[in-house]
Amino acid sequence: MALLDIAGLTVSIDGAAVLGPLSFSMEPGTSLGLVGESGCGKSMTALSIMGLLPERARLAGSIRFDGTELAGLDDRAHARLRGRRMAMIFQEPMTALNPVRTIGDQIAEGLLLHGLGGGDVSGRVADIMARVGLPPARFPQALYPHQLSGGQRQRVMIAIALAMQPALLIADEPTTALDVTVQLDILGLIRDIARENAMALLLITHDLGVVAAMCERTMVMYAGRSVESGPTRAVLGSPAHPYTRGLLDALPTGDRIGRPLRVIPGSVPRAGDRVDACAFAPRCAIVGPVCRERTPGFTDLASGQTVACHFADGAGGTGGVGRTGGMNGRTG
Amino acid sequence: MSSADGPFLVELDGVVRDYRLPRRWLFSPPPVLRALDGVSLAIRPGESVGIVGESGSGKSTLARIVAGLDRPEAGRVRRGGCVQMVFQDPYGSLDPRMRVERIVGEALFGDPDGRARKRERCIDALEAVGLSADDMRKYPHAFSGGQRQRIAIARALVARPDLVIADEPVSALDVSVQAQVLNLMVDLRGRFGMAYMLISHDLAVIAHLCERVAVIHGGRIVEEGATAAVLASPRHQHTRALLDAVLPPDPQAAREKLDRARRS
Amino acid sequence: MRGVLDRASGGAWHGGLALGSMLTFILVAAALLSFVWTPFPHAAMDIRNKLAPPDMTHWLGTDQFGRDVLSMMLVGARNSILVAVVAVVIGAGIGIPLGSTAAWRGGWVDELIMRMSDFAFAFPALLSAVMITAIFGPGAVNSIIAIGIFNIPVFARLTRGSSLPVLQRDMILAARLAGKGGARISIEHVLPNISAVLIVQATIQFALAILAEAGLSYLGLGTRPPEASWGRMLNEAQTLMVLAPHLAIFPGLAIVLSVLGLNLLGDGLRDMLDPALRHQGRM
Repeated sequence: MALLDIAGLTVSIDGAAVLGPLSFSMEPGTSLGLVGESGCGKSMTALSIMGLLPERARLAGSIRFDGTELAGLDDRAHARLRGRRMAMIFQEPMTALNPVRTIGDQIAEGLLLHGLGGGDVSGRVADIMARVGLPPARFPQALYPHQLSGGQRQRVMIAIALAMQPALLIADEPTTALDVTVQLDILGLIRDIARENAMALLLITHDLGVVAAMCERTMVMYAGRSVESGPTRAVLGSPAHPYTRGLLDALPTGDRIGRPLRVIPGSVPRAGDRVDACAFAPRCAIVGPVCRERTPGFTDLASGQTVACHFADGAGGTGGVGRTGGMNGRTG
Repeated sequence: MSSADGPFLVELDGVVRDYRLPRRWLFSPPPVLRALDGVSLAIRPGESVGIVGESGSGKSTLARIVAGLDRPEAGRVRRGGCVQMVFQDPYGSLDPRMRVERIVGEALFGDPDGRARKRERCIDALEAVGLSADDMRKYPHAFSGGQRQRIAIARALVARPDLVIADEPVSALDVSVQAQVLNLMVDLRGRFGMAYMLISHDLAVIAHLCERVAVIHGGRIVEEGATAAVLASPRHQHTRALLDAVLPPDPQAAREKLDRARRS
Repeated sequence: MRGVLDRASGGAWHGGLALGSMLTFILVAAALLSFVWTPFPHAAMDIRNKLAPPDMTHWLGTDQFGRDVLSMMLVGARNSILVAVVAVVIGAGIGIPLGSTAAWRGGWVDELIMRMSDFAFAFPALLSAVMITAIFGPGAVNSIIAIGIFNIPVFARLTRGSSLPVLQRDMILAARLAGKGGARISIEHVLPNISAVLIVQATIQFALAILAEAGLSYLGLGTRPPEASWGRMLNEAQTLMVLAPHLAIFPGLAIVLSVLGLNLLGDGLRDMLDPALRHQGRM
């Protein structure tokens, strides 16, 4: 059974649709990268799962996690589930940590929540801290978050997540605020922790290199919907959606110095500007009349990708009529 | 406004800059942070130099000193032309209470041209960055991040600079928009022939625009040379660390890099 | 749950803004009206008609000298506003440049200005105003100056505090690069970006100034006879509370409603101009 199964999820804020309809699922212990630019809905997806949407947001559709329907769950029940079965690592660890409590305390909280402390909570915390690269000799549990660097704070966040032993770990741009030389350490740590503890990893990033290194499967989002999903190797190696292709082409690689980069014209649509058409049509290189008339359905390709493009199969205008689903968890 | 005195547009020699931090105790001397520690750097007219480093490396202090917005404690700075800047945050760098005309026109403060002529120059600059005269009347909030950065570039351009310092000009932008702005910068250099000092943490961005690169670490320039050479065979270990940190969008290569980093 | 409260208070905010604007409008309208029309000359006595309760001739009754209470109230509104406006102008006119200078210059200039305003803050404003008018003599001008002086540190601190984050933005570097100096940058870039907080604070100081003027006049240190003042009307009414309660009720109500109106207006403006400030305390 899938650990996480999202079907027809939509979120609107003040009547403006900001996400969806979105569908995907994850098996236990797998990794999925959500990629996209600002406003594409990737963080909104994570907040929907965590039950942390702003009050003004309205959610519809289904989020089944571990057999429980999360849509419509009341705040307290969601909070209980959040503490025990899912954990999240945020972009800016300083705002996610409590500045007036010691890091040892904050890590121990996850243990106590599960009754995992046993007699020696402090010893367990020390083990966990050592595991995330904060050896007790140099990092006493009595330290406060402001006494640590950005990378070390992110290690504390990972330690808190590890203490909770969640089935699902969500990481939202976990290294974007960190220096590049620290990035690899933190990413590697997140990957190894998830693997060793059989956690499913949902990684949200704008960086194609990060998903390439971290995730078995990738879902590319644009304007609140999935445009392409599938095994990372296939999505990045032979992108089927013109947006994915455009993103890859737009990256400066350093081997074509001074020559113009290939560009996706225009800019990301603002939330609420959604229409009954392909949202990417105004910026698309292969746009046809049909793109401005209908939202494309999903087409499954032999390579394992699922693409929302009228021209995904090369013919145009016929792709995947009527199907609203996204990808299914075939990584198992 | 051209470099009359010598072949260099900007020449830094042994520049040191300290910042006093808040004192720990009431009577202790305030601790000093050395942001720049003997930096020497020269930029020729029309040349593009990249400065790569992490946060706290001193690269932004260096930009301010080259721009004349900050003075060094020790060392010499010689400047032989008009210097303009483009900043990282396209939201913080444009005054939300001003129309585009005033924002771009601000760079002409003190310029002897008349009002009508200044207006024409603003329109020219906006058109050069792909915006139009109609945009003069709008406020910054009417524009996307990428368009705002174009306005910031127009503001730098309108003063006919000999050197444009760009401090992380694309790192706050969406990936698909970064390429537009980088292309624009290449294009403008071809048309107006100014020099660039491009500051970034991203070697790929620098490699795209700059023929020469200086790696800054702990307030010192630890490696400097032709970009292609530095990328191909980095000598300093910090340069190597920066290069290793770049994850390519290729699962095989990216995973190998991550595994290597985990083992070391 | 929190969201529900937010929405409820959001609704109340808008009602507050409407009520505040209405009360403030009535206050200003009454003051303006007094220039062109009052039912009777406000200082004219009519001993035979003294202490008359409200009726068709004297809508709000008369006082112990037979003066028309409504006329005195209208003129009192004018005097309250005059004192408050000048006091806020003094406070803002000196405090805002001081705060801007402190923020821009930093270092010892900042220290000096801020320690001076700490010093001024250390004295209870109303007591100090009493002291100043006691030394320099009672009267409207002295009370204006006394109230105005204690508005200076309020505006200086607020201006400094709100300016600092604006000065951190890159747009300030761009302006410096263009060759603009501190004063010009403060006027062209900083003040327009902090105008919302300053306007809100001005309405709140305005209300406090009305209260302070009433207090000083009540103590006999403010507006002098024959000019009318709400504070002095209250003072004169206190011995006649039993005999003619309307003499105390109307000026008291006027003070309460004016201060309430201005505070509601200030809070409403704060909400409207700058939603980010909504849940912050006020100075």
